[in-house]
Amino acid sequence: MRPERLLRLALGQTGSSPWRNLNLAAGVAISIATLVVLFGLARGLEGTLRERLLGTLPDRMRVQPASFHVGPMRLAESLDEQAIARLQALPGVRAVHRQARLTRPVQLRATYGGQSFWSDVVLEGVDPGLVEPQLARGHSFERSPDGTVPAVLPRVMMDVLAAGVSIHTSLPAIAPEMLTGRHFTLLVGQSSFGAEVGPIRQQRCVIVGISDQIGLGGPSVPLEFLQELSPTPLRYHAATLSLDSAARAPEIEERLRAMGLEAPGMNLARQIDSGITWVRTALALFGAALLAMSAMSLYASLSLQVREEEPTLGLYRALGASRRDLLALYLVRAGLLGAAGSLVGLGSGLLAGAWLGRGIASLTGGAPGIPLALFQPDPRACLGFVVFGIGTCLAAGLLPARRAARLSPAEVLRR
Amino acid sequence: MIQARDLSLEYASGPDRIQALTGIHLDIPRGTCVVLLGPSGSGKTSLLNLLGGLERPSRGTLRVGGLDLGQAGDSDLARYRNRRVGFVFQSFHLDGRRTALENVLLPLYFGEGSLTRGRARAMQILVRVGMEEFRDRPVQSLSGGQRQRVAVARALICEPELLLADEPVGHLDDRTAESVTELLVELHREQGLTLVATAHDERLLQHADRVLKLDAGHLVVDRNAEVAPVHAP
Repeated sequence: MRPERLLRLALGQTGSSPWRNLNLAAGVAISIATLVVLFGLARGLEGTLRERLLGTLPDRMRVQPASFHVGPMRLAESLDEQAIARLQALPGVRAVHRQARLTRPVQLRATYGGQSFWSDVVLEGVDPGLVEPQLARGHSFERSPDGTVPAVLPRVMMDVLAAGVSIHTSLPAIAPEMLTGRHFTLLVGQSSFGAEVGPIRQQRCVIVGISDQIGLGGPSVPLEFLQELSPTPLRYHAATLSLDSAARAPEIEERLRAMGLEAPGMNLARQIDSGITWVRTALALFGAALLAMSAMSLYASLSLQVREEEPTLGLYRALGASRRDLLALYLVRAGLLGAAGSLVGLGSGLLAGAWLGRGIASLTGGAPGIPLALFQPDPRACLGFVVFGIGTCLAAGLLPARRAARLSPAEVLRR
Repeated sequence: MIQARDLSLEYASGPDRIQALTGIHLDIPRGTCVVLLGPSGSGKTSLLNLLGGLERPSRGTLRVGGLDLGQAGDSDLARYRNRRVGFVFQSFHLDGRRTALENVLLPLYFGEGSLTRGRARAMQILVRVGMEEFRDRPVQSLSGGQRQRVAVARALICEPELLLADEPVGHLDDRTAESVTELLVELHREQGLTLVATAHDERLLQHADRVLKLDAGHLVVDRNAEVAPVHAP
């Protein structure tokens, strides 16, 4: 039987019980849509976790001295220039970016929307290479001729500020481009807790970018400026390696461990991987269970249809249909239901996922201007779901199709 | 054209085994009009099923136009039913949801021929059986006689050489039965078909070249109707 004729016949038969077949296709569609939504959200969650916890530059590896904890306190050595030089000599390391914190209290003062704002911060000094990829266009990480110091804000601080502003005030939400070029003042030596140490120095700064590579406690300024403020030589609490390739990270981590250093991001990445694997496995089992239920409905319905259509099947055999034709006819019907259900499920899953993702992001503090892409469907996975949906329907249709093919036409026509 | 040797058929009906036909010997030349007579359960329909390739003999051989129906594969038998045989059933066996024309076209779906050419032929046949004005009507809305005319048209769409009719007028009133019988006989003569039909009345019998009578699965009478007419029971 020619494929196009088989398809026309199958479409005609499928259309003869529209409501029943619509229900079956809807069952498949719901299963596929659920899979698309859940896996898309899981992927979005993974991406968001990775981006928020590990940063957006995959070829970077943050390194710090091995530490130990005493109660809530984390004790660690610091890195000196020799350690930095050894890191620089590691194969696969393109550059080492040093990070140091000022041990003196620092207060940040600014105005935003006509309102004054101040906060105690931890001032960090970093090598320019650490933040240069994330600087706003047209800005540099060098002090300007008038003495204004460039500063980069940690993205987490931006998120917290933006969420706070959007929830508690009617001011426009903060976006990175709104902050870039704005000025603030650092009061070095001053603290809200009254712990003033030595003379207070005021320094005017300009925001030149938002970065996820720096410490979370406050703005980062050029390392050389931090050295000016520090009464003692700087010691580096961490360094970030720029790697030739992200794929070399495990190998470099091994070498770091031998040097008594640790890469907390790698541990975090492993924990995220492990957690996401569990989530994905659970979702896959849940989706498979849903699809199995749809497949069972399809099996039961097709079995019933074969029974109801026995006279027609006997007639088809009398008119020249072979066993293979009838087998193909029912498989095509099952496949059509699977394809229709899977494609509708894919489309509705993508729409529902995008809507849900936006809804969840707005509930969890994703203020305008800081979109959290919580729904990230994987095209290959989506294709896999469609293939899986069609395959499951074909498997569910196999037994009824074989039963149809095995019918004795004479016996059916005799009844 | 048709050659049966020691032809037997046994089939299962629930827990029972039914011996439908036993030791049939038969030669039917091409273009013959054969009428099968016999009481209910005598094996008439079983013989038609065997001739139509719907069942395989349990014993013996059955050849139609050189094809051994007992040995042919499922695809060969399907092709045989599609191209060389036309069926007309007592209860029409039409697809009620389809129009008359769609029912006539149905066998073409299982064949290799062009659907476009088949459509033109279907229109001609519908004209020939007097159903052209009902071609787009669902067969559910047609009378018994009209349905059987559609069934005859469907049987002829693939230009078969063998037309098998199982009680073709059994469900029709006298006037309609008369016209359908005339149609079958005319088509048999016009197209040189071999017509094998079962019948309970004498209408078809009057036109038969040959009459076979079955009883309990045995061929008990095999006569040329012109030489020795056999009356229906």
